[in-house]
Amino acid sequence: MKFTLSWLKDHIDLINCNDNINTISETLTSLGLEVEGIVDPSERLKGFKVGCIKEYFQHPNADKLSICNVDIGNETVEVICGANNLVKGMRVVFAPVGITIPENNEKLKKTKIRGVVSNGMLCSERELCISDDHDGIIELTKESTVGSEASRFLNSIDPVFEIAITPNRQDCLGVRGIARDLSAKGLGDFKTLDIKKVDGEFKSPIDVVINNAAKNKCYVFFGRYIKGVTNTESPKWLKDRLISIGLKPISALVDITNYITFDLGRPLHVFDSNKIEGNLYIKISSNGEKITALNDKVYELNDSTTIISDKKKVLSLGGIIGGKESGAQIHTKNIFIESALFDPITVAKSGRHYGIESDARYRFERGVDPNSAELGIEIASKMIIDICGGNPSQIVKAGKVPNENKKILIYPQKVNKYLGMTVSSDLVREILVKLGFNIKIHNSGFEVDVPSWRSDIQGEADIIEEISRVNGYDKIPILPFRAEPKLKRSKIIESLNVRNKARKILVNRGFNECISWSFMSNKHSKYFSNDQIELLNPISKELDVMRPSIIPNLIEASKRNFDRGADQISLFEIGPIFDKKLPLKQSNVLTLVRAGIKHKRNWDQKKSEYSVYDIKADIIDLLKLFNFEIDKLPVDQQVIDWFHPGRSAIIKDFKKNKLVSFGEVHPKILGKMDVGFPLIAADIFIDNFTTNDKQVSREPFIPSDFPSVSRDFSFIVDKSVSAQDLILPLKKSNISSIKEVLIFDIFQNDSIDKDKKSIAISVILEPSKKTFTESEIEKICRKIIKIANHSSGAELRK
Amino acid sequence: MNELNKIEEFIIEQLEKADSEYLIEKIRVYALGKKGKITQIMRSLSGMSIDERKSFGKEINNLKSKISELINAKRLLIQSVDLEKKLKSESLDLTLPINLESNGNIHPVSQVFQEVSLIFSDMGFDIAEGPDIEDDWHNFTALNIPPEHPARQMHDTFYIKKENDFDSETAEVLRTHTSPVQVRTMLQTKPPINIIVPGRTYRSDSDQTHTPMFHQVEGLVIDEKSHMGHLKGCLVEFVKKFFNIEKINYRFRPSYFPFTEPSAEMDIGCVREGNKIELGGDKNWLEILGCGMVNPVVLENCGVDSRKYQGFAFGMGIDRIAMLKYGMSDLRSFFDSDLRWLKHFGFSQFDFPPDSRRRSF
Repeated sequence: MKFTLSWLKDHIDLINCNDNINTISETLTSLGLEVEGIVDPSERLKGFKVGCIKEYFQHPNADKLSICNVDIGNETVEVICGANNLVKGMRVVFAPVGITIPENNEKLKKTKIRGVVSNGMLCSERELCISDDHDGIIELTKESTVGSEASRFLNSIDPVFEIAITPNRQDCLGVRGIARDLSAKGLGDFKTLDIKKVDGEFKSPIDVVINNAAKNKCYVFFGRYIKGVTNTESPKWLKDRLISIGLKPISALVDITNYITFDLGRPLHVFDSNKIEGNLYIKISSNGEKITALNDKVYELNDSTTIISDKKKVLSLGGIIGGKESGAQIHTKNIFIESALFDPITVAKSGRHYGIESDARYRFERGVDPNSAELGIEIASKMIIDICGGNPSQIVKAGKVPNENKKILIYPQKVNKYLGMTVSSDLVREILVKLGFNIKIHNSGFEVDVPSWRSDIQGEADIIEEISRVNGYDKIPILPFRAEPKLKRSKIIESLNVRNKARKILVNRGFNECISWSFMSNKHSKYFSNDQIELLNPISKELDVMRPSIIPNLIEASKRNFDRGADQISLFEIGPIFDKKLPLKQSNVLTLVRAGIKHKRNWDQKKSEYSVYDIKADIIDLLKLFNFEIDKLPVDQQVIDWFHPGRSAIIKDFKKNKLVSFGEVHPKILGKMDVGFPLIAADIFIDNFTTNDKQVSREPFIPSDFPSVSRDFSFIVDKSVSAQDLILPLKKSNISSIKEVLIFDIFQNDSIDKDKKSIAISVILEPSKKTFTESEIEKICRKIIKIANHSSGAELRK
Repeated sequence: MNELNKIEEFIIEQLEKADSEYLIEKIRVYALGKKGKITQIMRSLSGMSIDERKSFGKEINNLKSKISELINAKRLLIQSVDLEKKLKSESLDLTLPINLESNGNIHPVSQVFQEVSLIFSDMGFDIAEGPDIEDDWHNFTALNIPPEHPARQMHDTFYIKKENDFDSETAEVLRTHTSPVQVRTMLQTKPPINIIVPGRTYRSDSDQTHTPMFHQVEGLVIDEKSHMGHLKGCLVEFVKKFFNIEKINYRFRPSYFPFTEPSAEMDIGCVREGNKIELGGDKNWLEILGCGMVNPVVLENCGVDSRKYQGFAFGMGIDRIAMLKYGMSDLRSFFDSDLRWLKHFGFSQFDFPPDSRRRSF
């Protein structure tokens, strides 16, 4: 919302602020009318001085130039000027050497013009960007003080304010509403609106009918026929105002309606009544009806738009936009003015449906003051007749102005309890009255009548806001806040702690945390889920489904990094995945990927690429730090769709909750995603983790003083037997002295059967009560061989 | 006697010449071995008279210990010379570069949320979370944003595709703010409520300062007495601690949010030059968060008696305050996973703030 200082002063007598732009600006912001920008033309005119032409004479070498002796206060300078309106004693705008001329943004230089030096310049309005006038130099009034800033005496210099209006303050979508707020804050006296009614001279030939179906879509419609207008260019003051707020003047009839929209927040429409056949009907559109609107676009209507039509055609979309054909043109002679009140919700729905943004829609969907409908027709009539002439009819009215007459009770104690400060009853009364509320004592508080223009005020809290914003938020005290926390730590904090611990572990292992979109492309997500959740209105095709897995996003991130030259990629993300099958449609997952080389090239390390064992190490380390008994959790090698069928596995906890799935990403998927390097990944289901607080008393420490011994076994097993088949039963066995089982060699060669392989293990035994005797060790070894044989068919190698 | 002297002289001479442990050992065997010279002489003692044995015995014993000392001394000398030689040959080029196990980085959003959460947890706040996919009621209606409310147009909402026709009443949306978690919390918990809510939020928007996904943190306090003075105190404390500027300039100015009344926005002072923003100072204002007293309509929608309870709420962009504090200029880079950016703006695990100081009981 834009307006100028002089426009504002139409509605308020500013006092106590000396028209100071900063004071006004700060006051507006403190009221919640946030100033987004001020264009103060006097800023760019700083340094231009009032001069007085003492005398002037013809330039000796140029017919059209004069040499002027200009008094600029502390001295008299010689200036060359080409204007033809020079008068002795004239007050002029003097530009000293070195100043920037607004018209061309160039610095003024001391120049010799046809042999004579000019020590500055006398300015026209165009040179100062005040107007297009370049017929002569500016003549200031005789009262202008020679030597002082010229901008003080230039009356067309009007600062423009631009403020952001929050959706609740439709009353400030007119300059008058802004003035009312400023006056409540004490910046001046709010002026009464001077309404001069024009008397109708005859009965309107056009009547208005609101159809039953439209009764709650258009509450009231005031119309007036004016015969014999002369639509012209608007007067200068009107054009200047519209230009100053960025509107283009079109013709007096159009400009007047625009002006009233911005002056009073009251949208209006003017029909060329010669284009109206019969009466006006306000009704609900039917499917397929068409209208060419003022924006030159053709709209095919749905069956729920409020329209204004005559007996044959649609003339306008009520409260949104007028029709091109029936709009006022420059040659329009007879007009019909519309000042109506439309239902905000219907206007908003239709406006959105057709994608039409208009000043009328903007105001109606926020709720225009019901009482302004009648006011609007009177003010518009007067302005039109003043500017365009014509003979007015009597006013036609259909429907009824809704009378809400909202009353709210407000108690000062409640105000104080809400704001944490005491606001006196007198102050409450003063503020509300200045804002236009009627106020009556009621018990220990007040009964407040909400003015018709404040449809946003619904209850006590809204009134408290009015009081506090006018009184000033800066007056509210600053008190320390301490909540009384509940004693029990929430599940969420526990889960956040798990995530934070995982973060620290992974960063320590060299992973970089990233955050990728919660969405992704359906093209890739289908490899990861059959129950993906699609977006109705995605921002792009690449982001059209909710991700059922983080892996594809990290694959793409890896690719981007690879393309940028990274050769060592370790990324993780903790975040939600989405799938219709998940209990709450989403769960938190920690996803890891690694790709590229394990180490930077270095003299003491061999070049090697990340393999699935590296991510297994990451996982095992993580599980261990979360206190899982990793020695006893089986790695369940199985086929997972998006992984290499022979290189993927899952790990579950003892309760069969899935903890991890990991593997090498399927080459086919990498191919589809245009990734040319292998990539390993893991999903870690951290919702199944707990931090297992270690800040508790531990088991007593009883070290064994007896030496441990180790025994090596070389087993022959079937090729299909996994390492785990052999060693997990030993770890889980009842041989309590087994401390560790290590695999130190695996091989297959010609010395053993084709379908077999050799696995060599080392078992470390630790006695608890006394040193092992040879026969005890012998006994344990036999048991180990037996268990191995039993669980995996292992035979000792001969 | 003479013979002993001869032996002694000979051994000493040989010892002096010896330059390896091997030779020393040979000398030892020659002198003190089972068949060594001195050993043999000592054996011959048994055939002597008691007096002879006494005097000669003493002499031979002295010789034995002297020789054995000399041998030991020489051996140590040679060992140390040998060691020195060996060490010299083992010298390494310690200027060779070392490959450090590379440390990764924590994303600035995680870091900043942890900083925020620690400050609020010290004030007694708990943490709550909620789903990213919300229904229309929790995201809008319960928060006093009815279907055609103009405020809904400030949120460019993503909708979830349904099998049947679209119906705004039953629509599912990607939450446009973290505020629906306020609603969920009030419906589930009796006051007093003190929570902050972090999370991903979504709006259909994309440019240098807007991305279709971003992060918010929300705060909610509901009890019988917390008022706007507390709201101001709480946020001023937060801003000072978070930006680590004791004398930060700030202002609260009236604004509008459907779910709070009165509503305010908080600005902090800064100095803006071109694209660079320096916090502190008072030349310009920078909006950092929205807040207000919870609208009684919202309380009632969530089953809280608005005659008895009141409270405040606030919300801010985590990414945005991260940018202000740490100087990133483009929000989009937060979600690009560029390793170079992550290393530049990320944090080591050792600089990660501790978990909430609140303990469970």
